[in-house]
Amino acid sequence: MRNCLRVLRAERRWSQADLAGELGVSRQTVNALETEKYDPSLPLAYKIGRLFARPIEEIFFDGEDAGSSAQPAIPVSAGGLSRSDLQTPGTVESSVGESPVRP
Amino acid sequence: MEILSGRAYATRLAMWLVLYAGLLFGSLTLIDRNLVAWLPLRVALGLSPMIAGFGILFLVMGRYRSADELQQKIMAESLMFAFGATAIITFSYGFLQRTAGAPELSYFWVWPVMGSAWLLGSVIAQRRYE
Repeated sequence: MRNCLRVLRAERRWSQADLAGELGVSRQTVNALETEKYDPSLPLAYKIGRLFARPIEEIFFDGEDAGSSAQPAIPVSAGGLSRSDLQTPGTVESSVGESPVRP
Repeated sequence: MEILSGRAYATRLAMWLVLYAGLLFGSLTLIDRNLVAWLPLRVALGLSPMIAGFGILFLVMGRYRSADELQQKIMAESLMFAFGATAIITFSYGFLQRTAGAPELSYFWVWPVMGSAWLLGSVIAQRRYE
């Protein structure tokens, strides 16, 4: 699963340790999340969403939603994300209602 | 629940290990010098280092429970590796004893095998998420 956690953290000028402290996890866990080597549990994903005041589907997205592109599907640095930013054309209907985060 | 930092965990582990060493040294000294003749007391003395063993067991369990979800996953993967590797190694040695005359070994060797496998498993699991 892909995410824009690093960008969101950079926008707030937080270090990985800062974010780890906010989330109550280790810095190693933040690093593994940012490098997309580990997908968070649903409770942690929601905690991250609350921290950045965004729905989790604006932070985490699976490869299916994002298409085959190597880049994240959303312009995370632009701020003010909308759900339509997350979807590639033609995939909106099929992905609505699906959780992009594994439990 | 109390969250154990790495340093707090290491400190407590060191304390339990010191207690273990003290109980081991004390009990072996008393037993080897035949200062305790009553069998139940000799047995209790001989097992006394395991008081520290239980302390370490609960310490490790506390460490697991207070770890975050990725750390728990890494610990679980490394322990799973140690569990399987120890089974393979001890079974293999048992078969070698039956088929190739490998010498008898003390049960004390099981833990070093498992501990080493745990360490190796930890390194492998840690690297997966770096």
